[in-house]
Amino acid sequence: MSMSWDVAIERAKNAIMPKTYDVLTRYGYIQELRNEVRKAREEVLKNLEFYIEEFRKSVERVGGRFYFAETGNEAVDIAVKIVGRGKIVVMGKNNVANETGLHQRLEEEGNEVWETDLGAFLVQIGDEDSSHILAPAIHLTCERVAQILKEKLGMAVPSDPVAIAQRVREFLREKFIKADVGITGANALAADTGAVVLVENEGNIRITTSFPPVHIVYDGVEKIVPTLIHALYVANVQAAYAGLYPPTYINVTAGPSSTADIEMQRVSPAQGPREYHVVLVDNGRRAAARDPVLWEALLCIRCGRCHLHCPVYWALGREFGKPPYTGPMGVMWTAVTRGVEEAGPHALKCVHAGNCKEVCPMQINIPQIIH
Amino acid sequence: MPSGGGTRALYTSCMYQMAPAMQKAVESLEKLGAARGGIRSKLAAVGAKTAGGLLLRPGKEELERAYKILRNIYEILRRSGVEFRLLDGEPYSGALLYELGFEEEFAEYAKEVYRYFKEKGVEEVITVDPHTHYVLEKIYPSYVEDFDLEVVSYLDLLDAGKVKVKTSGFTIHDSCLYARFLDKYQRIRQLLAPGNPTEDPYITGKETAGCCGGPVESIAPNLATKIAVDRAKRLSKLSDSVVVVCPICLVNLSKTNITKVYHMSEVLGF
Repeated sequence: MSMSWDVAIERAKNAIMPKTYDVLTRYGYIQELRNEVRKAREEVLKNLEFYIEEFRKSVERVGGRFYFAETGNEAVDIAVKIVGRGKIVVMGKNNVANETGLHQRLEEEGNEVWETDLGAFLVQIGDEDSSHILAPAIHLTCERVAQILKEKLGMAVPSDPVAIAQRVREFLREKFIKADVGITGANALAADTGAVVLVENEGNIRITTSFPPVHIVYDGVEKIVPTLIHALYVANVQAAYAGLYPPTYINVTAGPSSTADIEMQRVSPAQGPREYHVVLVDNGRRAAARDPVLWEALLCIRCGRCHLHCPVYWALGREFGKPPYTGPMGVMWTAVTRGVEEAGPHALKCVHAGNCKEVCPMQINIPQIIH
Repeated sequence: MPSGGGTRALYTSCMYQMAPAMQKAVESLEKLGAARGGIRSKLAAVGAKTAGGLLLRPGKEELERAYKILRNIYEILRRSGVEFRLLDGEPYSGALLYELGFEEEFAEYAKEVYRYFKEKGVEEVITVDPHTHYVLEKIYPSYVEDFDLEVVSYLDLLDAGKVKVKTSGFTIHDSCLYARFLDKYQRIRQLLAPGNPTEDPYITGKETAGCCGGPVESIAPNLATKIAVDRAKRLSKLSDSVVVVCPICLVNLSKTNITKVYHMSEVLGF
């Protein structure tokens, strides 16, 4: 990686590491929650077929449409069919969309597609690969971001994060208003209610899930947890271990919008989306769940903390793993989604420093899995 | 050096003596194309390692320093009242085979090493480096049937009340294995505390400290160098001298020429 990477990662580490330690010290109950999350997710992974079916029934019970995709291509085909052609699509940051090439395929089908997470937007505009599971533009310094916005969109913005966020907000506002479809991932999917829980700070997911008439949830089977309470735990634990706690927003969506204001009868739609679709993606996950070693990788809640403690990631950035799955968790997830052969060369770069294992909220033995 | 009797033996696994030779092997690997990474480099690593046994020898000065480190460890153990014997012609532990993923070869090799100890009547092994300790304590039992050697680190046998630290103002670079896999992070600090080491929670913390790059030097030498340089630069913010506890860290951080590097046994005494 470049000198610019060295500067960017150093700034990111200096900014977020102390905050994360502060959060974990200040809010001691997060330790209990993370243990609960690990237990709940282990339970699901041991009985994955049962929970997929429970989740399906729940989605349909709340008025949603459920789809199951065995492969990435199948998942993309399903989403493309729901979206159609000539639509404006706004997307919340979604690593499974990235994993399966959804964004590109939607564009090829004649849709206008916009990433609405600031980091994901910058990666889109810059035509780059994402470099971190939670902060895809972590490799870009604010000076480089200002340069990209100038080059690609003609925006004259000072190299200041506040000004950049404000200018992109103005740009995306129009897209949100015109959007036909909002596509998000999930931090957790609740088997008992068919709900998706999403944690964020920007407000883009809140708008993506409520403003367009159609909401598609597009994520992996491992995101299922037994109940909505567990799903809320996941959101809080993820935010805390990302150093961003309390999160500005936690969104719960369980079906199309509805109202019970007339004679207490719940009818749909109301102000939010009229359609709620859930595309559940396998793409190697169920096979990984049966693997005696790799199964533990599926516990990852995508906080991205392991990246920031990994000396190989500090040195290589997104070249360690295969985007969007980079860093220690990314090497495991490259194996889950692309196979051990493709993950192998990245695994060989691991120095087994063990920092990742120490800081993982799910206490995943990442060095052991990589070995 | 005088050797005691009994069933407890000091085991160097030749790590300190071999580590300087590995640096030379890496230079050969770079010529063989290992810097490009991947399976080819893994094979190159093994090829060079095999050839290295014949062609590469550490320099006289480096070898002298390695022996001095081992003599110091021997001395501080004896002065702590620890009884043990020395071994003739001790074999290497095979840790590198395991770390490079050659599990079948490692399994075969480990059985031979175990047999060596049994033939010598050894029941307890005192290790002096993290790689040997880790592989004997954590890995051998899974590969060697009925493995029953007691494995103890010299760090845990030293008398912290008697051992003195001969210098001060240094910082500490932890071995990844000792700090995060073998629970020695606090013990090392207990032993070095009289030297008032300079620490920083984001540079020498258990979860935040980096590696010296050593584990990938035979597979990705360029990456190993970058990691070592990054690490040495961060440590140099705290002090111009660094104390390490591992032979690989000693070589890898020393070659950056960014900071003075000492092995812990070089700063401990009575």
